[in-house]
Amino acid sequence: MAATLDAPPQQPLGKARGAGFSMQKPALILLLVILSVLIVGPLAILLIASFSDPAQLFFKEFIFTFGNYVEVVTRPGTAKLVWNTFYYAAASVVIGIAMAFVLSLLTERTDMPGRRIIRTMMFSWMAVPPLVFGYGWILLVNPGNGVINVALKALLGLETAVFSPYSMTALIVISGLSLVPTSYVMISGLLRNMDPSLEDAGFVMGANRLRVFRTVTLPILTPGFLSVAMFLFINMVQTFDLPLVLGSSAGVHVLSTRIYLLAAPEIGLPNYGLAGAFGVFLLIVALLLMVFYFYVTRVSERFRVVTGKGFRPKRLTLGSWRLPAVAFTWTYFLIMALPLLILAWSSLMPFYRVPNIADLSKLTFAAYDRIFSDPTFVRAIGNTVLMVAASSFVVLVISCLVSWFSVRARSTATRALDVLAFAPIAIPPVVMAIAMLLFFLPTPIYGMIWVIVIGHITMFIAFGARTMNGAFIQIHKELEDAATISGASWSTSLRKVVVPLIWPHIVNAWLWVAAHSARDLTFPLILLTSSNVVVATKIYLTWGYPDLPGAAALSMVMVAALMALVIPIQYFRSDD
Amino acid sequence: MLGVENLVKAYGAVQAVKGISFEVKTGDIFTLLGPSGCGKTTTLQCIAGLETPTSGEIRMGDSIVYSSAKKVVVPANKRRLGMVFQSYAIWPHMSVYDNVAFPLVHGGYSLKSDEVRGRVMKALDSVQMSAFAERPAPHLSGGQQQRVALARAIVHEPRLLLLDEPLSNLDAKLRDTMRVELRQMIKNLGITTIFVTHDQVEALSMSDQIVLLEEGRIVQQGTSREIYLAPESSITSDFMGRSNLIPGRLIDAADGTVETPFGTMHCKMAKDFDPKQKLCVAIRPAAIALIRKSDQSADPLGQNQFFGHIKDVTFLGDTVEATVEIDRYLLRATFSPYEDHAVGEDVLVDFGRGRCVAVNDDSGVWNSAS
Repeated sequence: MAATLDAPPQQPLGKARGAGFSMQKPALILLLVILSVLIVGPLAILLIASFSDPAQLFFKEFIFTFGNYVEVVTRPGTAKLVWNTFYYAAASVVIGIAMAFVLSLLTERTDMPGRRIIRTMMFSWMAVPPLVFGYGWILLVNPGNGVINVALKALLGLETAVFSPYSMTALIVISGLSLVPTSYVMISGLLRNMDPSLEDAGFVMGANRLRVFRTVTLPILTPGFLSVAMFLFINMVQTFDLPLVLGSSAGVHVLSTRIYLLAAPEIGLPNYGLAGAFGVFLLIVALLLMVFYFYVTRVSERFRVVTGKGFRPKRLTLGSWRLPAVAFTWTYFLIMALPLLILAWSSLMPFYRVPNIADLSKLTFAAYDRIFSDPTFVRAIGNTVLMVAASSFVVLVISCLVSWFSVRARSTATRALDVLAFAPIAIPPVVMAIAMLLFFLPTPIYGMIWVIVIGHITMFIAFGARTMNGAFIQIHKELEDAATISGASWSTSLRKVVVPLIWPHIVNAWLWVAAHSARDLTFPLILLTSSNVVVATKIYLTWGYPDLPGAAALSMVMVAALMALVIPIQYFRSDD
Repeated sequence: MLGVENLVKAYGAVQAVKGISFEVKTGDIFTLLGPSGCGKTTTLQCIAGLETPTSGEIRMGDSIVYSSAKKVVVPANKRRLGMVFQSYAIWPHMSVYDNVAFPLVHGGYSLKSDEVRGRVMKALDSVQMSAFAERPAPHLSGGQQQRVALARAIVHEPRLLLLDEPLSNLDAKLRDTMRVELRQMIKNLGITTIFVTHDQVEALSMSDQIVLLEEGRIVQQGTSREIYLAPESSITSDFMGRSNLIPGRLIDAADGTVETPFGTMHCKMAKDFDPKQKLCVAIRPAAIALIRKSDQSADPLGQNQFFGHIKDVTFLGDTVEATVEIDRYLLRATFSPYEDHAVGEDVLVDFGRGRCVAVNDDSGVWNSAS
């Protein structure tokens, strides 16, 4: 204590600056207003459109009618459409989950080599847009000159092609494959968080591996599986990109593509009334599924064995199963890589050729040169960078604030905010995009890149807020209180204490939002004008033009750019 | 220095704090003591400004920081307080120096960086942590974290220092030494301190004034000695270390006689009781003297002396604990390990007259006795 006496005498500190005005209330009100306008506004317009006479340009005059709904119900194709949608969603989810379960068992519970690489690749798959994946498969298995068909014909001496990408079955298989990484992320999370002592207890009782797996592991995981399956099913009911690229050519329609074609037909005028009625119908289906999902997950809480502790379960020694396991895993990755490889090949050819040694001499970077010199391509790339940067930044700012309010300042207003931010999970993107179209059509924002940015912000806040909720819950409230007591304002304590502490979560959420904003086709396509073309729509347009090398080259550039962003972060994040 | 008047804090229909008032003198260590859920932490949070009370008034010096009548709420960051949290809340992404400098840098003071350094090092000096200034915060032991938290709480010369269970995160041995050191450090700084704890040993050893809370109300206020030796109710005497609580009925307030299950006892009166009122007599196990029968053989029984019988003895080292039966009524007594009493021994039980206190029966001793 003597040190205190030796210290030089100091002037009293004096009064602190600032009036004691808190930004919390204005921020909360502002957030509520923004989210209400973004979510409720467009949906209200969609609802109005669905009740207005499609013959009228409804912005001029509103004539109330049930006609659109009557047509939805009485159209001969509607029942088929609903069946297609559910069948497609269910079948692709089954494929996705089955493969993901085997792969996550191998990487989480066995000593299979290369686990970290596999995890990284799975977590990085979001860098590949479904659109690009779909085009790759068309090049691989189209009946005319698809690589696999050509090879099989030569090998087996057949006259006709074996596969076709233009069928319900092909759509299901390809969608199922593209679902595997997402399912893997969720299922491996389930396995990681399961307390291995529950299994150990089974072994102590004298049961063998298989028996423990069947009688202990599976029952414990079942509720988790159910909720993962439900979640993915809801996603697939709403999905748009792959059904558009593969299904539309085959005349196989699901609800989302039907709505799109009504709102943006290739010939004739858009029928917003009917599109709106279908949109409301799909929205209700999605909402019902979401309610059911919450019911299922609430039940599964009873089985919750996720404690957030980092468990280190014992790994099964594969032994002689090592080779088949590795072969299975890498075969899967080869299948996933094939579409990208064929696109890479196509992007380097002056025009499409079935891959062969002789044509290697024709390799050219002409398509890439075009992408970086042709003003329409350059513009699309510039637009995309702007869109991704703006939407991911705004999503993260809003998500952090929404989560802060819903975790730290519980009240009726913050609960409303939480619900509002989460609501877009149940709104199919295609419905939201058309609602946004109708909402912004009379405004000057329509046609600008910003209308797409607004759409992405609205859709991705749900993910951002969920992720950030998890992050804030982990931060002890006293760490923030300490800053407040120290005299820091709310914004200072957020900037100096909270944000640095949850920074890894922010980077992860940002990465997800940026990748999904870049790869999304739904909003850019439905809100497309000549001035707001982004890379995803440019690929779509170039493919349809048709300029195959150009579309392939742009796809490769996009995948490469996203991978350069995603892979390093995912690799350093995933430990064994 | 601090005045709290009629403070109420309700969460929905539940009142956590039910209208409490107290005054804290400048330089005192003032303790809010009570079991969990008694409202002590809520009261502290209201003083800190982290919770907004439902009604009442809180003054610091001559300024009002909260008043429901005058519609004043000064936000927490403008109250100029220092606080040590239960978890210490040391920011793990900063060095020790940056942690302590935070209130000066971000508290709205315009200080040059060398002045900040001077003040931070002085604060670290006063908790003997200046050698650790550049260390990253996660590399500190529990005791070191507590010192850093204290330095951070005092660096900006706060009007009040608030301590929220600051010792509960330390292991038992460190807790014993930190108790003494913490009081010494605070007294050297001369800062008025509000201390919240559920541990009566911490409260007794560190406080100038103690307020005992139960279910959102003040049960008793006083110095450590007053609270321990002169409890006013059975709750106080039960919470402040163990007590024998004997159901009794007042015979005569003037000479302090109370009728108990085994005879008339002479007691100090904690308050005025009505004649014949049900009350209880509190007596601490250490206040009971056990005298071997042969040692007092012929003496007649004096005041507050009864014949008893040792039913049970437990040797604890520092003390020996015994269960004594007087006329089928069981009491707990302790004696020195160097005395020798055996199970089955007949003894004379001597309750020193000044050591028996007649208190309110707030905890239902009568109900459980009948």
